Amino acid sequence: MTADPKPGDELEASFEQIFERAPLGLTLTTLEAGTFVRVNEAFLSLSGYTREALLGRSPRALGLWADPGTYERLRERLRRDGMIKDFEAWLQPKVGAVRNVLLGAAVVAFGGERCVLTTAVDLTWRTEAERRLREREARYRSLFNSTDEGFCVVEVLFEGGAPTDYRFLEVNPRFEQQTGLHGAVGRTARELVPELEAHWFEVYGEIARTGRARRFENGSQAMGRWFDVYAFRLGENGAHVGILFKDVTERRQAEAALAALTRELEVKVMKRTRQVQELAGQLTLAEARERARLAGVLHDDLQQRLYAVQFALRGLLPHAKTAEAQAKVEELKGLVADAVAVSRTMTTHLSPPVLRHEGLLEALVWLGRDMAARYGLEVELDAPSRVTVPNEGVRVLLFYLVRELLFNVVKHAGVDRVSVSLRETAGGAGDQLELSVRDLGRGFDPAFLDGGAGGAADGTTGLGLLGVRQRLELFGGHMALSSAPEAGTCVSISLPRSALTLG
Amino acid sequence: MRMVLRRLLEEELGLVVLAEAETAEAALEDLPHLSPDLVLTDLSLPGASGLELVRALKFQRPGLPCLVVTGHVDPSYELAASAAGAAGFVTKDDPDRVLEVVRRLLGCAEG
Repeated sequence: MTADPKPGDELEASFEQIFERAPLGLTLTTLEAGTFVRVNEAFLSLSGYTREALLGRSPRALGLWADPGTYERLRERLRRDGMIKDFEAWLQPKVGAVRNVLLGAAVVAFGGERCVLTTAVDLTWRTEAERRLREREARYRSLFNSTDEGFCVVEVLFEGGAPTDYRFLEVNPRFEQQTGLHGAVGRTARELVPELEAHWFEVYGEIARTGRARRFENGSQAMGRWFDVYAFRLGENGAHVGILFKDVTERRQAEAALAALTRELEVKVMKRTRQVQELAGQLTLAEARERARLAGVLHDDLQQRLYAVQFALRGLLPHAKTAEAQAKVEELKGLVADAVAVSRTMTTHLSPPVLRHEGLLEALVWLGRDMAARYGLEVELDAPSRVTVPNEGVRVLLFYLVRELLFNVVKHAGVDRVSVSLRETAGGAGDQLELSVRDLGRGFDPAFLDGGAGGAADGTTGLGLLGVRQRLELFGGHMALSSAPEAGTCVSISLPRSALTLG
Repeated sequence: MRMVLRRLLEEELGLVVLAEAETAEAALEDLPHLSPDLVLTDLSLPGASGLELVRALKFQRPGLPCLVVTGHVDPSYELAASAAGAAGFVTKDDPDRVLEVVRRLLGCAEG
C-alpha cells in the first residue's frame, strides 16, 4: 500500500530536478559552518570534484577560491545585504587552470537551517574571448600606429550620386609625413587641398559604391607627390573607405632621372656609333685612295717603262743578226710581256678603275667579267636595275667583300659558277641592303669566317675577308654563312640602309 | 716611251716624225704649223686627256686620223676613244700590233 503523493512532495521533487539540471553551477552551504549541503552537476563539472568530495566540506577547506579573501568578502556582503549579485571570483578546480566565475548568493532556509544558495556562471570563455579581442585590437592598433605606410579612413561625400570630396575620419601617425597634410581628421580633402584632382574622389567613390578594392599608383600635381595606394571599402555598405598608401615621389623622380639618363646615354652611344661608322668609312676610303695611288704609280710609271722596253726590244729585233741573238730578244720580249701582265693584274686588283667612277652595280658587273676572264668563274648577278649606295666608303667595302667571297669560291668551291644577288628591302627602320654569294661547290669549314683566312688568289687584296667582315660590323652590318660538305656555300650579308647614306 | 716609239716608227716603217709634244695643249699649239698624216696619242696625259685631244683634232682637222696608243686595256676606254672620233685604238703591250695599225691607217690616209 502506497500513500498518495502530497502536493508539497511534488513541488519539492520539481525543485530538486530544477536544481540538479540547471545549466549554471548551484551549491547550498550552511550559513554557520559554510559546508556544502547540496551541489548540482554543473558545479561538479565546473569544480572537477565528485559530490562525495564536496559534501560536508567547506570551499575554504578545499581551497576552492584561488583568492583566499574571497570567502570573507562573500560572507561580509551576505551579512550586510542578505544577498550577492555579480560577484566575480576565481575558482581553482581540482585540476587545470583557475576559472573566472560570476557568483550570486542568497540566504535561504533549507531543512530548518539557514543556508546559502550560491550560483556560479563560468566566465572563462568570455574572458578569454575578450582578452583575445583586446590583443587583436592592440596588434592592429600598433600596426596602424607603427607602419611606415600612411593609413586613413575616409567617408566619401556624394552630391547627386557623384563623388565630390571625402572627409578624413581617422589617420595614423605616418599620415602627416606621407601627405604633408596637418590636422586632417574631421576635415575634407578639398578643404585641405582645394585644387585636388577629381580622379581621387572618383576612384574612392567607385570603391565605396562597388566594394571592389583597388591598388594603383597615381600622382597629384596639387600635392606635388606620387602615391602607391591600396584602398578598400570598410563594412558591407556605406561610404567609408580605408586607404593604405605610401609616398613614392622620390622613387618616381629617381625613375624619371634614370630614364632621362638612359635616353642621354642612348643618344651618346648613337652619336659615338655614328662617329665610329664614319671613321670606318673614311678608313676604307683612305685605304682605297692609297691603293688607287699605288695603282696609279704602277700604271703611269712602271708599266710605261715596261712598254718602252717592249718597243725597244721590237726595235732591236731587226738588228739581231744571228738566230741566237733573235732568240734572246724574243725571250726578253716574253719576260717583259709577263711583267706587264703581272703589273696590270696588280693595278686592277689594287684599284678597279670602275669602282672610282661608277656605282656598286656597275662595279659588280665589271668584277663578274674580270673573274670570268681571269679565273674562268662565271658570275650570275641578280640585282635590281638600280642600287644606290651614296657612301663611297661603304660602296668600296661591299665591292671588296664580294670580291673576297668570289676569290674564296675560286680557291675552295671547285666550281666554275657562282651567283651573286643584291636586294634592297624596304619598310621603315628595317630598311637594309641584302647581298648573298652562293655556290654549289664543295662547301667548307665555317670557321674560316672567324679566322685569318681569305685573301686573293694572287695575294693582292689588302684587307682580307676577316678585315672586311669586321669593317662591315662597324657599319652595323652582319654576315652569315651556311655551308655543308658537297652542298655548297651561301654567305649572306645585310647592311642597314642608314649605313649606306652616312657622311 | 715616246722616244722608243719614234725610233721604231722611223726605223721600222721609214716614217718621218714631224713633232712630239708633252701635253695635248702643246700638240694643239704645234698643229697649225704642221701637216701630219697621222697623230698618235696616249689617253693619260698631264692636263687635258688624250680623249680631249682626239675630240679637238676631230673638230680642227676632221680628215686627220688619230690613233690612241695606251696602257688602258679596259674595253670601256676603247669605246670612249671610238666615240670621241679616234681612228684606231691599240694597247702599248703589243708593238707589232701598233706598227700594223699605223701602217693600215697611213695606207688609208694615203689612199
